[in-house]
Amino acid sequence: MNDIFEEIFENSPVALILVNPDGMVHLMNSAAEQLFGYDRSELINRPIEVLVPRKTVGHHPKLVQDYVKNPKPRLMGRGRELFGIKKGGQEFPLEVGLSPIKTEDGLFVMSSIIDITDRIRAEEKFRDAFAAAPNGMLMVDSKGMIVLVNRQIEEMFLYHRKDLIGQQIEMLVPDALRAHHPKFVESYVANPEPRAMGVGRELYGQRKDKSMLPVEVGIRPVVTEDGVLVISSVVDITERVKTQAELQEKHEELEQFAYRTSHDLRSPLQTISGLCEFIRDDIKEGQLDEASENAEKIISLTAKLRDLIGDILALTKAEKMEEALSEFDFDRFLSDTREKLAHDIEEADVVVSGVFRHEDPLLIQTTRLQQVLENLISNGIKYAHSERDSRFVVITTHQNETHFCISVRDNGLGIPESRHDQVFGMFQRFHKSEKLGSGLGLYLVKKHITKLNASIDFESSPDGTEFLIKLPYS
Amino acid sequence: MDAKSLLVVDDDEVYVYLVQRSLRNVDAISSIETATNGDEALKLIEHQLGEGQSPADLILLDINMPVKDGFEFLDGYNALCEQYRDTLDSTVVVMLTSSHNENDRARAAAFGVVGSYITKPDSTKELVDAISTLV
Repeated sequence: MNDIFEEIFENSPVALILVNPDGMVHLMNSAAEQLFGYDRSELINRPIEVLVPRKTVGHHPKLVQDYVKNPKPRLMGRGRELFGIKKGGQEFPLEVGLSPIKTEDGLFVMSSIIDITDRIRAEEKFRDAFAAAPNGMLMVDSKGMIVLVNRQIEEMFLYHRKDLIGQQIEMLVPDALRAHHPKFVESYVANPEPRAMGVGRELYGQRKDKSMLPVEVGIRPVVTEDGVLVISSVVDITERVKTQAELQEKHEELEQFAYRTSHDLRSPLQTISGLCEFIRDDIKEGQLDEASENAEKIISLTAKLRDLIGDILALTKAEKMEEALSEFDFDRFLSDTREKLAHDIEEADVVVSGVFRHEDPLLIQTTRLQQVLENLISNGIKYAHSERDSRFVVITTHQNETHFCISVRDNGLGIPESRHDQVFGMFQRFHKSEKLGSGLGLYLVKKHITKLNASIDFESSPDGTEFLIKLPYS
Repeated sequence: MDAKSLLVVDDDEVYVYLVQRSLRNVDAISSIETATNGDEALKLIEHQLGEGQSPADLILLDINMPVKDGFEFLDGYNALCEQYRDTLDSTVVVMLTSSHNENDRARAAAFGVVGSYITKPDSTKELVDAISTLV
């Protein structure tokens, strides 16, 4: 029978050391030899303290005596990190189980020793991964108490980790939901499986300063001997929420644009088709005067359609136009524009002039600025006041400490005050149909101004309108 | 049956001409007045009511117009109806618009005074047919 026990002892994969009542090594197996690097001949009848690190070796005999007084199977060093020392002096973490064996010669103690280097390394790796995760990571215990957080969590929620560890997870939950949250934790711990938190709902965390943080949270249980722990991975989705809102806005803008464009293209086509029917009838009946008048109407309608399509194209290009900076030549721009709009200028009898008081050259995406100024000038001409003694559109420039300023001022009809908030909107028109523009001009202006990082403001009254563009130097 | 009078409210003056000329030879229509936006139309009706004249029997109303659009006109017109219930009782408003927007249609239908909603027909013959059935 003894032979069998010796066989089991010797071949156990766990390192086993039997210590006699005097604290000396009585027996050890080959797994223990391998673990500590000693041949058994070197240890038998030597104090077990040979295997204990120097810093704790002084306490050890007393600990052995205490155990002998109260012997029962248990783990050694509960709650402390234990180390052993190898023959070469190398320390390593270990776990030791103790069992008392009563004999005629006194109380022997059997120690089974496990090297936990790998486990400790795995734990360190886990902590490293936790710390290195690009998103917030936190771990709570089955009662919802925070046991681990990484730096991202600290940054997201504006807490220091020492204010989080040991606290309830509810401190990061919005006030309004705090009362319900422990129930969620409880039901999750009862039925733990990896999943996203709050699917289909918008989730928010609450920062230290009480502000709300839109988040996405994935949770995953870790079953340990201390119970279920829950690892939460928290992603700050502020940017995504913002981008989604912007996309939504763009989408609505596009929808409105498509709707209004089709409307504005369709109506003149219907009218043209009707006018053509009249012309056909008039020709049959020899009413050539009215036929000729209607042909003129068609010509001007097609011109408007052409302008509309031109504006739509300009608008489409404005979004992604890329252009190197070059110097804007105001004198040349003014003479080119006068030439381009000569027909309208003459018809409306408007004086278009420029007073350029800037000193430094203006480096800018010239096509954008050109379209902006051309639109403003063209509006000044289109909406000139026919009952005034004289009509003007004047473009002036000046520089102050922070901005290059360009003003386009007219003494035209002015924009009705009730519509001032819609000036830069899409398809807004403020005057009677005989002067109908596409309703896209100022919308295009605003788009270019935004792309130029500039600002535009206006003042308008029945005496006229002034648009003021401010271009920051930087 | 008496011939009806019409008021066309539309900022598109060429379209107004188109309506006028298309309906020129429709016997059931006695006269056609025009206004280029909701504000002008309201002022015209108010003036007529003030003078004791009866406003048009049928108002053809566009939606997208400057100054006051079709819906703003309807708001103002509702207020007038309160004041001149008996006189305006026989007047019908017909939306004549190029808007295919369902929201516009629903918004118009919410006004009790709106009798029907017609999207501007593609041909003058369809236009004449549509208006003829209304008068």
